[in-house]
Amino acid sequence: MLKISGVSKTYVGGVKAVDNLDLEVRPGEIFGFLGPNGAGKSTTIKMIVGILTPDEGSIEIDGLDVSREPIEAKKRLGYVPDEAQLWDKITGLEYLSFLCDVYGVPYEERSSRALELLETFEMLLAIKDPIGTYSRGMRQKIAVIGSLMHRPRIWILDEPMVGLDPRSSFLLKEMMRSHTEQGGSVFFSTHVLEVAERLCDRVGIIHKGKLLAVNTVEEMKHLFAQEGDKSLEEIFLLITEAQIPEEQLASLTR
Amino acid sequence: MSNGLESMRFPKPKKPFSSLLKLEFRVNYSLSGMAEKIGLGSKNKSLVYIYFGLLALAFVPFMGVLFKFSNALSEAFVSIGQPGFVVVLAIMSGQITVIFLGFSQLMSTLYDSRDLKTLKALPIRPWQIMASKVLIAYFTELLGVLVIAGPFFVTLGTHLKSASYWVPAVLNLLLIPAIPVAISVLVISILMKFTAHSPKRDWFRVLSGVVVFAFIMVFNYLNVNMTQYGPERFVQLLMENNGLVSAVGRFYPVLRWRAWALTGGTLGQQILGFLLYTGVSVGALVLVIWFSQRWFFEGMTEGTVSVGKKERVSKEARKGELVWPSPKGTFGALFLKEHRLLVRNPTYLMTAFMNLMLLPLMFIFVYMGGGGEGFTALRAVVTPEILDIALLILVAVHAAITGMNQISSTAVSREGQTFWISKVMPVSPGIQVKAKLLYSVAFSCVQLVILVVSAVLLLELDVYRLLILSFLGLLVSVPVNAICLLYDLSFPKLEWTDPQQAMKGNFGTMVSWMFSLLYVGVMAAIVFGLIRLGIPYFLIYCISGALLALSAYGLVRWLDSVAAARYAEI
Repeated sequence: MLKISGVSKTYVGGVKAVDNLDLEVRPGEIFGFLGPNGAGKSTTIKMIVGILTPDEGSIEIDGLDVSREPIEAKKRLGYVPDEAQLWDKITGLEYLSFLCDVYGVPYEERSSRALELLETFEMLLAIKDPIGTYSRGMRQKIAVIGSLMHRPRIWILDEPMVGLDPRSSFLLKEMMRSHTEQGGSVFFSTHVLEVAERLCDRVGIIHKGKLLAVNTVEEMKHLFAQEGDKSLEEIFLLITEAQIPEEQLASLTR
Repeated sequence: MSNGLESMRFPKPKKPFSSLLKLEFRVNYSLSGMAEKIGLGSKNKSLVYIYFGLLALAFVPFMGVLFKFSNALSEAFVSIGQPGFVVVLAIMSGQITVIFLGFSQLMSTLYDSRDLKTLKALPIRPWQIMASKVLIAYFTELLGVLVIAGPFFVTLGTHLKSASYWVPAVLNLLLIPAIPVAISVLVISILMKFTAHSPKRDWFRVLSGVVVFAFIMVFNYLNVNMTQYGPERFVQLLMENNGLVSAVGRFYPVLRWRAWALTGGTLGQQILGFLLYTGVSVGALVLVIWFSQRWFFEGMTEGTVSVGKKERVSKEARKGELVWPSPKGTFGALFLKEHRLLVRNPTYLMTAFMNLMLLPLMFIFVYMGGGGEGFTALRAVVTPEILDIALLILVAVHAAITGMNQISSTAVSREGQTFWISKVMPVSPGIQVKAKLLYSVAFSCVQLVILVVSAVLLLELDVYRLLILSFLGLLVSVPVNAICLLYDLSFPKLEWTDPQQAMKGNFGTMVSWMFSLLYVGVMAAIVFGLIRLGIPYFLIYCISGALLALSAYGLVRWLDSVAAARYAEI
């Protein structure tokens, strides 16, 4: 469903933010993208959704090349950025209506779909207020709702739990699981490794632009079993602080 | 272990207010700050010199005309013993500039700056925060005043040939923004104190700007209106040294004091004038900041939106329905988005409104200054050829004002940090910029309607010429807006903390206006050539229309290709 092949991105000044990245997200899968600050997670996500252009390589969404068929590719994904900057003077309803217009959501579906999501995230009473009056968590919620109105095949989330209250965070995780059970995919980045450990079917660990490991959490734990019972957090720290041999690192990629 | 900290040199400690002021100046007026304002990005600091060099060159013709005009005025008034009236005119034009250009900027600076909440949490006194913002706005207004009023002071000084003129003249010039800024701060603070919790607070802001501007216009008119004295008294005033000065400022004696300070008959009068206007100007500013600081911070509290809306939504939700806006299609949705983002931001709306009012105000001034009789006399002698030339000039004026209205030249910049939405949505960049272009043209059409109505009233244009003016005006709106949009697309200013920075603080608007004027100049030269060749005016209209349409088509195609490239790069 999402295929990233040989993607690299270098910023001005020669900083290689993403270095020859290869990974795939399969249908029905929740993929957690983990890495320290500045590892290249957000850069990768921005390349997937079209905010940045890769210097090398290709990104395909449902077989559609993002650079060659950007419009069709974008229609298949829903994106939630970290700290979503939205139009302050537009109401939540107007924002959702705008997204429905550009994504071509059938009119007869809009109201019921919106009600379902607004009630889930307890945003119904605020929907006619300008987004500028929302708290940070409410902005995040309206951004999440906006990304789901058109029922995207693949859901791209950049640090989605930040700013959400516990209930909304729980509901979001439930929605992610239900989305994949219906055949969709979720690709999300997070710093909260406990969430990744419980939720993700597979995780990828990126560090200094390079993908160091891709595997299921269980498999990673199994590969480190001889060193004792390790949590994902401990494995993550071992991998990113270069404390494991390269052969062992290679076995982590599947 | 060395971590480099011992080798890091910190600047010398300063008092909080000095440190804050220095920070504000650095953010706004350092080289990297200027580069950010222009849209070059803070890393291209050296380009700022080239940029401003080119801008200065572009302003040379305008300044040349202004210096000539002020020189002629100074020479005339000095020769009839009324040098002080030049000072009055300079101060009036400077103050009108401050209100016209500065009121919305000041409002945005005081209430939309995103660093205000951060500053409020620091141990800095409220008046210090407010004063630092006001001083930055003051400095910005001063730059505009120097351009508009400076030539009057310089040319007057050269004609007076007095060594003691220059120091008070510089002080006089520097203090021009004081009272308009003080009035603006007072109005804004009171307004925010009493409307902060209103859901219509943004509309109140816009309304207040309009009211203040109208007040200043009428006030200035009442202070300098000489027709109230009748011809005999007017001649008497002309016979007295600086007689006109003694007649102005009936409601605003500061005008008189300023004029005395520079051109008073005796040293005593000059010193008195200087002390009075300096005291009033500085005192007004200080007092306003001191008294309004509390209202200012109370007004900063964002209010909750009215309960009524929540009750309405609850009722809808209980019925299991949500009244959904009608579908608009992609282009309609984009057009509506442009409209909402402009009119719901009071800063943008006020700027747009002031730009719309520019032409009507010019006509009103001319009328109020006795030009109404002039127009009546003109209509009596006007020939069809003069009307045709006037029509073509009006088209050029419309084009010039279109380039100046800052709608298309900030269409991308105003998106700011929300630009990611435009990049992520499944709509091609070409369609998105065409929606922006269409909206800009629609705005220009509003200006065109005002122009056409004014032309009909003042020149009594016939239906045929009215239609030609409308058609050519509409046509010229497209390439002019396309040029401005092209520039903004190429050098957008997306990193701003205050919406004002996207519009009025965006130097790109000046550059794009210059490019649009270049286009207008080229078209005007072609038309002038056709007139010189004796081509019939009907053919000139057809040829101009065809040229405008062709250039519009070419520029829109260019816009399309630039959009595709730039949206990927931004």
